[in-house]
Amino acid sequence: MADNKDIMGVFADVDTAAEGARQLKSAGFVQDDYDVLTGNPYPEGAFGEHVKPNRLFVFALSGGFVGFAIAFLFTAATQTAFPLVTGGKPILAIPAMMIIMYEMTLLFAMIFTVTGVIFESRLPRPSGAGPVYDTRITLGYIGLIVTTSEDRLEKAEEALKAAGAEDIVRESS
Amino acid sequence: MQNTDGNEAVIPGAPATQEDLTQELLYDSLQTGSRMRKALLISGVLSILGFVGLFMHFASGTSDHTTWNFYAVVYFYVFSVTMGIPMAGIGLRLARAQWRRPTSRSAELFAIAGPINLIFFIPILLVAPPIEGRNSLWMDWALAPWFPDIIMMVLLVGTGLAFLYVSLLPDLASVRDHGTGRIQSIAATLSRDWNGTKSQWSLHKSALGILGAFYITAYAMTHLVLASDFAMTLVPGWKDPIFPAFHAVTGIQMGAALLIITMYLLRRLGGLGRYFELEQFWGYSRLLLALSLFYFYFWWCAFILFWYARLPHEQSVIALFVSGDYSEASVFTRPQFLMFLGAIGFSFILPFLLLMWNILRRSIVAPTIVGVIVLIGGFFDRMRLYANSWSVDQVGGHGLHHIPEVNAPTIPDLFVLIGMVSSILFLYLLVSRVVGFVSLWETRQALLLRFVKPWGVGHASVVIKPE
Repeated sequence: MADNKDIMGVFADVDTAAEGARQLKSAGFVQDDYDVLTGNPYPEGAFGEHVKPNRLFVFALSGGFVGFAIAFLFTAATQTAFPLVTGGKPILAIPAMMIIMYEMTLLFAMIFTVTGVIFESRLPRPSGAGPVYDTRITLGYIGLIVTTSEDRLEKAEEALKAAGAEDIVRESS
Repeated sequence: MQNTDGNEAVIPGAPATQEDLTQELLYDSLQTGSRMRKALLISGVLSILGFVGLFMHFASGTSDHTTWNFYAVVYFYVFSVTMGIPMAGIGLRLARAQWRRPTSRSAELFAIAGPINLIFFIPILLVAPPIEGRNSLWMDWALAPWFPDIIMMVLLVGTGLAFLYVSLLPDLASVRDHGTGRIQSIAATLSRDWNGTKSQWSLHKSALGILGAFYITAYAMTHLVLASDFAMTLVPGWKDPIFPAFHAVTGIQMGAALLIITMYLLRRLGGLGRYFELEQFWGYSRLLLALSLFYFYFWWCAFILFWYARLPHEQSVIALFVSGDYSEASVFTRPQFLMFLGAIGFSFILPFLLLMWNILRRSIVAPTIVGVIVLIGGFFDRMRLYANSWSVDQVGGHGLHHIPEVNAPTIPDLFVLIGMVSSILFLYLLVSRVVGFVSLWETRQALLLRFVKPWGVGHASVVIKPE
């Protein structure tokens, strides 16, 4: 929601961060209210957070389909435009087209996958400013970021502090 | 290192905390000392030689492809090694081998050689004889071979670079947050808004899996297309469905060999010994042994078919690539046989005889020596395949009419070899100044997931597999 604000607790280790997630739940926050920022991957659900399945495979599949279609049309068009009978094989010889179709399918699938990573990871974020951030995240600290309405920010801060957050970072207004 | 539950982390001598690990990999190892500056300067200057060699080659003409035979040897040697080495990293990553974590970056960073391979591929396309009359894959298609070959190369190089970029993203964010100067601004531009949210990590994992799988499939098909267009179909009567697989596997073998040598150099000269330990050398030496056995297996499968068939054109193929011209009495005066001897001796016999002993596999020096041997063998092998097939001036027909003389390498060939190797080294070292030789995020994760626990009267290594 537009009037929601971010607040982040910075934790030194996994155990206190997990405790932070527990405190947030006790304080009435649901899984969709908070996210975890880490410098390296942790097992899904390690902090009790909810991770929506990503849709990267849709990009790869779409790219593959587009590439396959382009390759099929291109090879078919060139073979029918310059009809040469080679070795008694048909003009539209599928085995000879397969390598091109394979190449183009993979090429477009790769391009769409990279596009998917950039788009789905919000790299860059189209709206400009991202969530609150602390550079200690890339030093191994764990950030527990709560997105909530302004009147619940104090409650979130209390929960994060109670769990042992080393620092609290608030979104600048 | 003691973890929170009192268990000891396994990475030998690793820093005690994540902050210390970051300090070492992010700050200390990214310092550009005088030795690194010299290496960058020398490799950068020597890179120019490659283009000088290329210019000299073009000046001597492109109409006769047989004079470019050693250019083809050099090109396909460098291509096979540098495009094969990321396969070692990607394959083990997909297999979820935990021990490879500190080595992945140094393997995958070789994907940066892709643009160099792409540039030096252009003369191969220009000089190779047209496909008319050759038994090519393309059935005389008007756009072949340049169109499918360029697409194939762009696909392989592009997938390698895309994979590298995605795997670098978290470490680029670390440099963005804690680096300084120009390196920091480059990292900030490339990492953009990577914050390490759970959804970003989830995408990151999926992307590495998808792009890794794409690289493997593109790698196999590229070897099929290139081995077919620029070796097999140049020799009338050479029809060998096993050859592309042999070509691909020997590329991975040479890649694994170069990775072991790279690890050794980073250990000795780069001060990264604690990340390239016995465990990593042992792991890769087993892979190298398996690949050396594969070398023989694929070569033998192809050879035995030709040998049993005894058809005249197949005997010519054996003469061209194995025994040399039968009209010469002594096999030791036949260059083809000497090339074959070097190839099988250094690519299979010596590596097998050395690596079959566990005491040698389980060491740091022996796998490195075998790595050097395999790279020498690989060069002999590419010489055997490309110097001979590019010496054939007869295009088309059902079999070779005579075994051709092999043109000797020239000064431009030497320049191209030095130039290609130097330019790849230059790019490799340059990129390592931004992201390092060891993956920070993967090593951090390894510290969290591996422990030594008391077990009976001794200790056991425990690896957590969260997925």
